[in-house]
Amino acid sequence: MLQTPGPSGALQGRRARTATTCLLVAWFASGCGGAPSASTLSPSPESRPAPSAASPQSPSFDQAAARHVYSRLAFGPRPGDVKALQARGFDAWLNEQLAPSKLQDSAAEERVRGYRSALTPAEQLRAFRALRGGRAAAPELADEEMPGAPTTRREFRALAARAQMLQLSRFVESERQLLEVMTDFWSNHFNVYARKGPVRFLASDYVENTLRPRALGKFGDLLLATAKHPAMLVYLDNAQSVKPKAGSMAEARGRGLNENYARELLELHTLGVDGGYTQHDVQDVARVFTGWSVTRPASGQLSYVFRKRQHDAAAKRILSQDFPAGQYEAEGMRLIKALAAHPATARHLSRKLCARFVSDTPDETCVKAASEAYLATEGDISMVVRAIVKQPSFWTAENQRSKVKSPLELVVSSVRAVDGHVDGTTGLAETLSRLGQPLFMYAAPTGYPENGEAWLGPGQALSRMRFGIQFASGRVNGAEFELLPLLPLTDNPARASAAVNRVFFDGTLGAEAEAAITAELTQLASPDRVREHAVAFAVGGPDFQRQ
Amino acid sequence: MISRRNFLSLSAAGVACLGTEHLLAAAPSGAAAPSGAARAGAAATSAGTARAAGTTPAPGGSGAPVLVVVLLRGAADGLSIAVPHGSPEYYAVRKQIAIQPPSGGSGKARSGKAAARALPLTPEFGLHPRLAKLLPAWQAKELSLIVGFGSPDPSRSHFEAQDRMELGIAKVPGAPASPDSGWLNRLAQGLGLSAPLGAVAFAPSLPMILRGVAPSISLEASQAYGIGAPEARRAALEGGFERLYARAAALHPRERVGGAGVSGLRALAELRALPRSKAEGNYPRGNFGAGLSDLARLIKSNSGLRLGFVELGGWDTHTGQGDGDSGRLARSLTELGGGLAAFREDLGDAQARVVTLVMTEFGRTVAQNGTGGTDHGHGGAALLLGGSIAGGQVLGSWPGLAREDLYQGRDLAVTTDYRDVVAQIAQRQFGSGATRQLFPGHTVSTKLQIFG
Repeated sequence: MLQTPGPSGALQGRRARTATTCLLVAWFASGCGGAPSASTLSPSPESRPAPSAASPQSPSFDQAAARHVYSRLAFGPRPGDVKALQARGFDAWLNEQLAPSKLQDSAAEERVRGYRSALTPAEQLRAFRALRGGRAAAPELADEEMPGAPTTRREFRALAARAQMLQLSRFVESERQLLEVMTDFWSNHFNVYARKGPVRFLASDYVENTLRPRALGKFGDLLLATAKHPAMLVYLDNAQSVKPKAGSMAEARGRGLNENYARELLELHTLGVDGGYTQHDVQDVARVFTGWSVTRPASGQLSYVFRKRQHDAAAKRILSQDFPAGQYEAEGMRLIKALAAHPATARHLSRKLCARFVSDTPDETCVKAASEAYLATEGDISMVVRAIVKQPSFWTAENQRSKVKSPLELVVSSVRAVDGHVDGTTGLAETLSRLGQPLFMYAAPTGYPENGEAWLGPGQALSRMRFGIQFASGRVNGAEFELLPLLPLTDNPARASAAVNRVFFDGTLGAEAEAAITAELTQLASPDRVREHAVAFAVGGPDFQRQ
Repeated sequence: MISRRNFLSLSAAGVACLGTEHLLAAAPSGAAAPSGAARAGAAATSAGTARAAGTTPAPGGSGAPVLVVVLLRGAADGLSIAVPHGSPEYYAVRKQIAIQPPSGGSGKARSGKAAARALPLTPEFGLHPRLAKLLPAWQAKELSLIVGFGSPDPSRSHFEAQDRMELGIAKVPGAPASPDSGWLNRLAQGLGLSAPLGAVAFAPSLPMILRGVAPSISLEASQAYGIGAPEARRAALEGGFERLYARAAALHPRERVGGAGVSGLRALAELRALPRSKAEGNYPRGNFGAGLSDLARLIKSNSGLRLGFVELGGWDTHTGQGDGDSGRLARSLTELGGGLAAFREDLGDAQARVVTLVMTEFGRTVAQNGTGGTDHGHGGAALLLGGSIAGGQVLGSWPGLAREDLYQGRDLAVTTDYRDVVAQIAQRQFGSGATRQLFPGHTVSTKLQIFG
């Protein structure tokens, strides 16, 4: 079944980092006495004011606050993370996380490497066409239409699973946790659907080369990169949207304008549904992006191409701005810039980011502060994140553990809690699918919902209990971990529940909640059962569903 | 000049009368109750009696009337469901994707393939060939179509339109403030439902339509009726979880976590006790078929189920929509038709007390777009099934496809507000006491002869 994780590279790497950071901590602790100084965050470590300048209303940086940081700005702590963060202070941690390229992550790279395809998207597509006897892949081909033998279908599905795993394994393994949280955020904000046409070949490239490198950069760059990525061009049909020409071949084949991308660009990617645009704006935005397309698969490439002849070069008017005739590709660039700089976009993104980090119903102060940071820095995402974590509302007790974990957050945080790893198979992607959140498989362009209500129907609660029972048995498809070193066998119910409190909650579970678990363990026959049920109740129970 | 719209609405009404043998002029549905009740059998009669006595029918119990809502998420193309094969405009603007008229029909056939042709319903309308499994229901007068159906809300955003349709509001000038509960939940409130399985959605999460103070539950279809606890330890694990979640619910009454766990476990116990159905194998694979199958089990048993909800996605056919024989839409309609037909068969006698309304957030553009599909539009079509309805009708005033008849010059207009249909069904099934707060601020029109 599962291999024992020896003193792996990942563990060694982590230990090494923890050692160096302890030195830094000593320097900081002398000044701030362990207080988080969340309200004194400065743009760069160089210009940092003295940590002692922490304002009196700063929340004390206790275990719960440190755990909160790992719950919201990471996919949950690994053993020892919370204590290390407490010792080190929040600023240092945040600065490091906001400069991810400087953060050593080779152990994680090692573990995720197997999920990376050696082939480019175009090569994958070609290989599949060969497998299927050379039949051309129509871009809108769906699963069910796949001709060919069942093996081909299986292979086809396996590709999607590997793309899911490349993403999921980084969430589990990477030291650059905040970058991964933001990558998850953008993967939903700029959702694509693997079942549409060749998107499954493109999903990994989309996340690895488009979203993640820009996840903490300027929003305008990210927006432009998604607009040009073949995954998005195919998913929202823009690749096929062309200027309708009377009497042309295109018209004879019924080709012409398609509004899908234009509408979602305004409604979901930038301005928001109340962003003040009209149906006329949608149409003219669609006209701006005519000709933004994808190379033909036969060319051996799957990449962005601007097809001048298919572009509608006539004048347009969008959001009361004139776009004169004959600007071609440049007007799309101009429009992307204008949308990224629009105050409605600042607000829409700020609201979503406050909802992700602070509360499903974020306070206006947070949204306003994030919006201002966005507009002041030309959409610098890392500065928006800084602005949000500076807000008192980020730290208040009522917002801690107030958000319901998505299935993704449940799976990743539970594996990390026991210092587990992906096992090299695609099993963990299946585990996540069973819990209702297969990555790149959300058909609607909204991406998976952020609000807890969407994730907690009674049926979903049952799935989470089932996951807890599986986890406790040590058999989570796709994950390798050992419960024994962290959770020694005991026939003492109180000791077993104290142990799960330590491992899964960093000891932050209240005495009464711990006692409630203890009470459920008293009738059990053997130490194995006591521990197993304790873990099942911890992972599948109500408290671990919150973060 | 006689407008096309008037001409067609007259002919549709004529067809409706011929189809149902009910020649009553427009009358409120309450007035038509006797004939409807006669068709519906004992269950509807008891509802009718209760209504006459001015009381709400007793919740739950055997043989109680049921409403099932099927929401097609993603905007299903109504013009491919209720095919207007009598309209030349339809064929003029949908060169590749129009559903060809029935053999011998008036439209210009593009291909001779019989399988791709609309199934004849009336001189003006046909059914998509992939809905063929619903023909027996039409012939038994247990299926009606409603054309020009939808919400007056102008939104062309899926998410906004779905939310508003589920809340039962339309953001049009002068509309009242939004209620914050879904209309199916308000109906549950009106019915005074208290059974844990009184209002059930088979959906990944509780849909907006069921949110509110009345108890309601969402279950994932075909859940294996267990949480994977080994038999010998089932009581310890399920019981333990139930107590822990109940504790959380008591501590944090405003959160959903605790309540969700408790409802889930209780529903699990009830579902586990229900007999399996012989008809289960007839449903299409997937969550939609499984959800309908579970609903049928709940309806036929004495679970107290009164309100059911199932959803089906895959309707956003911007590209490759296809014709009557192939393409995305044909595939989705096969699943829809197969599921509804299996549901009807599975229900058997219980069909007499069940009304199923199939609707979508908005229709699609009348003309095909540049990529062999259709974009977000306005008016669409609905399907209505049930043993008690005056089926075999194409209901609603046909808005017409001439350019001047289109909504904003591009989409089918809405001539029947979905709320009027819902309100009439709810009134017939549950009585006026239960429906008083269904759509606050909306004046219900009862001009459609749904029940004859």
